[in-house]
Amino acid sequence: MNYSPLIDQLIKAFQRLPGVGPKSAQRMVLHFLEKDRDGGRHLAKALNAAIEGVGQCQRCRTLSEDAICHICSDPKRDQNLLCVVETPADVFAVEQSSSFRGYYFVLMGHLSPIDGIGPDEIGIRDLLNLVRQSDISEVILATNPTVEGEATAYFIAEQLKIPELDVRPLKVSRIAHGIPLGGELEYIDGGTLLHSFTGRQLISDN
Amino acid sequence: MVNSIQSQPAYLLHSRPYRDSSLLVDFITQDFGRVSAVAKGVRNPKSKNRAVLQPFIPLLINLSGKNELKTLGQFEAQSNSVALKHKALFSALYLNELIVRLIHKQEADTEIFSLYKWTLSELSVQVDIEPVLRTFELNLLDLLGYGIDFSVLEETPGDNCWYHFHHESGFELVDGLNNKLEKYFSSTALHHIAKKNFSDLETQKAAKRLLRAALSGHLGEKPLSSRSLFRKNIG
Ligand SMILES: [Zn+2]
Repeated sequence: MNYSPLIDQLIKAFQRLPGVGPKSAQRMVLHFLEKDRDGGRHLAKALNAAIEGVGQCQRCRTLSEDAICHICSDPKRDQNLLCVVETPADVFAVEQSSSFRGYYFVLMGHLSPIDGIGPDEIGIRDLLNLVRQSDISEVILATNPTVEGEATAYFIAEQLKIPELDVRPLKVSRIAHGIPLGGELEYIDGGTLLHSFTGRQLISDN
Repeated sequence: MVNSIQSQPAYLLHSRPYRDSSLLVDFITQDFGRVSAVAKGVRNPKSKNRAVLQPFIPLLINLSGKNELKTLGQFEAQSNSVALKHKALFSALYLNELIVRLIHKQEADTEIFSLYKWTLSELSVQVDIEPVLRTFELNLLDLLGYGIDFSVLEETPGDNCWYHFHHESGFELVDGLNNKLEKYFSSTALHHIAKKNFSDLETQKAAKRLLRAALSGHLGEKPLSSRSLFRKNIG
């Protein structure tokens, strides 16, 4: 059976969402049209407002409807620390964990030569300018522990050896990764184990 | 290509998200060349094995399907990941980009696989990576049938003459006047390169220029993105 053009168009639009196939798109559309027109109106309004209103923070590049996002404009955060992450979702994850009170820089991706994503595409120049113009004393590289995330971290660490920054000390660190809390060694894959060994920490030195 | 392949040695070259929980993966395999496949469900949080679907980890994979796009079945890492860091990691990403750009899908060549495997292990142990990369490039061009023909050097008239190189016509003897230009090479350097002897710095520099010229003829207009990883002080 074919739906009328407007319904059909909406079903196709829902299918652009990750994980939504034709069946679930149809279910969502019929739900709004049959049972929840107010909800549908609200969704349309909110979606339109976000698409038109949300851009990127001029300082950290995360998604934000203000020119400077609420984290960057919070003076109570630690001015000395900057955490570099791949995506806005990573900022959210770190914030949820309450493990970090400094500022962020969001790459919006990672270096991926085969996809044509190089230093310019992930805003490395903006990052270097930010470090130059601020009081940051430690940059924490929290890119993903994937091959591309590692390469991105190495690249940034290399670029942060800026000649004119020699006058002030700048620490560059990489988040530790390895065995998850509650994990058992025999079930951990080789790559993770390798990481946990290369990133091991001293607990006592008698 | 047969419908079902078991325990095939392979390396992942590239992956990208596909649908909600899957990946589109691109492998170089030992016996079937470059193969693309769908890795179903590996992006589920419950999928334990996903961590090994990374470049540079030697894998054993099962593949099925009649079409060009295969389905990835079971897979496992043959050993822990190769410990590649800094420039060695950038170099390995450069190898992957070269392979994706130069080797067509299902162009089977077990020697290319062996060359790739050997080069990765060299990158993980050698301090001086330039000779490793030049050796890879020379051998890859040979295996693809684009090998640089050094036979002209056998008739070199004197000790120090100069050659112009073009990726299609090869070497041409010239007088030494233009030796500062990008595509001119001394016979001394070329003799070393032909023997894959990169011990002196002059030869290394000449080899880099020569291979760049030879590769660019086959890569087309689009520059290699991985070269930007080696740039210093970009901002
Ligand atoms: Zn911000």
